[in-house]
Amino acid sequence: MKKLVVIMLVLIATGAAHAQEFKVAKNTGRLELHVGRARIEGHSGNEIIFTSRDGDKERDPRAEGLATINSLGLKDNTNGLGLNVTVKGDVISVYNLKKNNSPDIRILVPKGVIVSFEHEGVHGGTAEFRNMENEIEVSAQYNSVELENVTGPLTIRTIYGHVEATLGSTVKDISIVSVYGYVDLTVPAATKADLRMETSYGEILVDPDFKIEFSSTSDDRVSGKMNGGGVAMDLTCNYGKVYLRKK
Amino acid sequence: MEREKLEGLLIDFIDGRLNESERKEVKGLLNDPEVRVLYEQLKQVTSAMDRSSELNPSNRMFSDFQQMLKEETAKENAPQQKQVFFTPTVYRAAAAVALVMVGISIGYFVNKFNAQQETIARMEQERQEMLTNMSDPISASSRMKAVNNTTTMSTLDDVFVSALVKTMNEDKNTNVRLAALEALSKFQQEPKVKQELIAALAKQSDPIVQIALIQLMVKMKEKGVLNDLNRIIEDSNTIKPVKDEAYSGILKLS
Amino acid sequence: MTDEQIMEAVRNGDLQQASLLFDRYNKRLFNFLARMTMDRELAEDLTQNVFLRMIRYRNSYKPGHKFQSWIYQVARNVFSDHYQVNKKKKADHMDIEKVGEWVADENDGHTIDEQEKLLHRSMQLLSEEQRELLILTRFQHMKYEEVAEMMETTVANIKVKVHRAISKLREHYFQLEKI
Repeated sequence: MKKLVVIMLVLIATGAAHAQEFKVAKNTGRLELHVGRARIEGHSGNEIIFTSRDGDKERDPRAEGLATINSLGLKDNTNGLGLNVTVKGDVISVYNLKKNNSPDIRILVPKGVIVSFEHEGVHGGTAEFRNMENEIEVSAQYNSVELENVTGPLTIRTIYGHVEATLGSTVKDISIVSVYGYVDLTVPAATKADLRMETSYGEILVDPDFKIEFSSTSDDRVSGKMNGGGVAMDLTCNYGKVYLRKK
Repeated sequence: MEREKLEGLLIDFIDGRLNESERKEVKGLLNDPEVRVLYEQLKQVTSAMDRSSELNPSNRMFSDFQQMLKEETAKENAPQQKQVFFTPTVYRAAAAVALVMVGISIGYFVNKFNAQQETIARMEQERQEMLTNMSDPISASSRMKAVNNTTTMSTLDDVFVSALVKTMNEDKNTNVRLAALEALSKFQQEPKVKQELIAALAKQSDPIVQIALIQLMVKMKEKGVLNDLNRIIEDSNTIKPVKDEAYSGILKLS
Repeated sequence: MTDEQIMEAVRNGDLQQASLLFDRYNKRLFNFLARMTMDRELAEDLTQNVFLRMIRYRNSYKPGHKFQSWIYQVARNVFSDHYQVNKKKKADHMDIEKVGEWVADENDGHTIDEQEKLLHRSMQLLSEEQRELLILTRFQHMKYEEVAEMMETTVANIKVKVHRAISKLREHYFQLEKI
């Protein structure tokens, strides 16, 4: 991995940057996050709001009026949050400036925006999603994914990380794949779903109180209809365990 | 105001479909320069469409039609002419009855055929929708639904096989790729599908899909992929879980 | 005579009346098919096909049903059947550079300007459903009610879809303009 050089360039200052916050006035489209970690929350507003959870960093007086730029030419256009945000048509792309040190960011997202989190690098943290009705996509290698009070649709894949999700009262299509990490899903007991759980070398553990009509259990896979069937619910974990809990 | 609602309002405004109070509302919104730009752009494309002149077919259209009409009329009249030459009145009556019966049954078959045509048309529409949704650039979930719906088909024609293969090899979302693989594996007995599944092993770049493919090859007892598996193991870029699965595959297939 | 009355006569065996319907509809159907296929010669063949089916399968016309809706449905079927048989993935295969040119035709005396070229290229970027809706409502000037009847859905549904199509068209048009 290349060592990224952070260069300071002289740029014209545009107003004082106080509480580190950056907004994008969009409430539909796709938010594509290419960052190492983030805490993403749904909100009822019409804008996507980025804030820093690092707390008010001590401001370097020498840096006043300058913007951080990395060796790929991306510059920090988010008032010092350490991110580069560009909007092209329906897509809002967000990149870290420092590849091996992701800022701790909190992002508030309107519910009409599809959120995609993508990270291949080793230096990643957890992708957290809370209180969201949005469609969420995660493609990660090392990151773990935690979702609380979401509805889906979810398409999540991670290789080494784990996935923990608690679904809200409405449940839409879910597809979660992990190679090594465990998959732990909690859903309301009355959820209607077409269930498919698969693990090659691990175990599948299900809360016995669920009303599931199992249809086929081949070596690796357990299929069935929960409460008569409904949304698609696919949980796959090659080496780890799959846990299905009821709320 | 939500973007979609705004655009709808502007378009209705341009088309003169709004009432007095709605028009006032729009005029107020137009004070915003961004809205103004949007309005001008919408106006430009809609008037370009409205202005677009009618195309003229060539002269042969009319003559071809006349020709066709002549032929069809001749076809219709032909059977009746034959009937006139039957000799005894009894036979003629019987022939008339027979002809009516034939006419009715042809009518029946034509109707059945037409009903079939209608069903075919509707099925075609559903197919088109499925294919369009399979390439939805915005929502992975809708691509996935489209892929999963193909499992309701009894056979896969070439168009669908290509679409599913493309999705399996190129979709930017792993889970959708897996769904495509799953859908294709249901039709693995069809030679074309089998061929594509085997070929995919060499092309596949996503480790999670590679693992699933290897597992499928093992299930299908496809010894032909042993070379591909070796190549995967030898490739320094292959990540460990895929290599492990490849080793396991070689073991099970040898 | 109304279209419906003429068609009923044809249905009852008076095939010569079909000429009247040809006169009334051939240009419209040709325009529809030409804009869908972006190929004039093919559109002429397909239009002939529509009239052939109109005559041969006249029994599938339900008396009292709106003729325009029926004949356009036949046209849509002819369109999709053609591609079903030929297995080409329609306009997606067309060279995007050539797309604008098909409209111009020396015989037609129809010259095209840059705007129209842009318009056609942008149309080609739309999904087939959206393209068809725009062709029907804005090039063929069909009312939302007529389209809704033909596609067996509600006016509200058609309206939303048409708005979305125009919105997408605008996006493509102004993106292409920048190139």
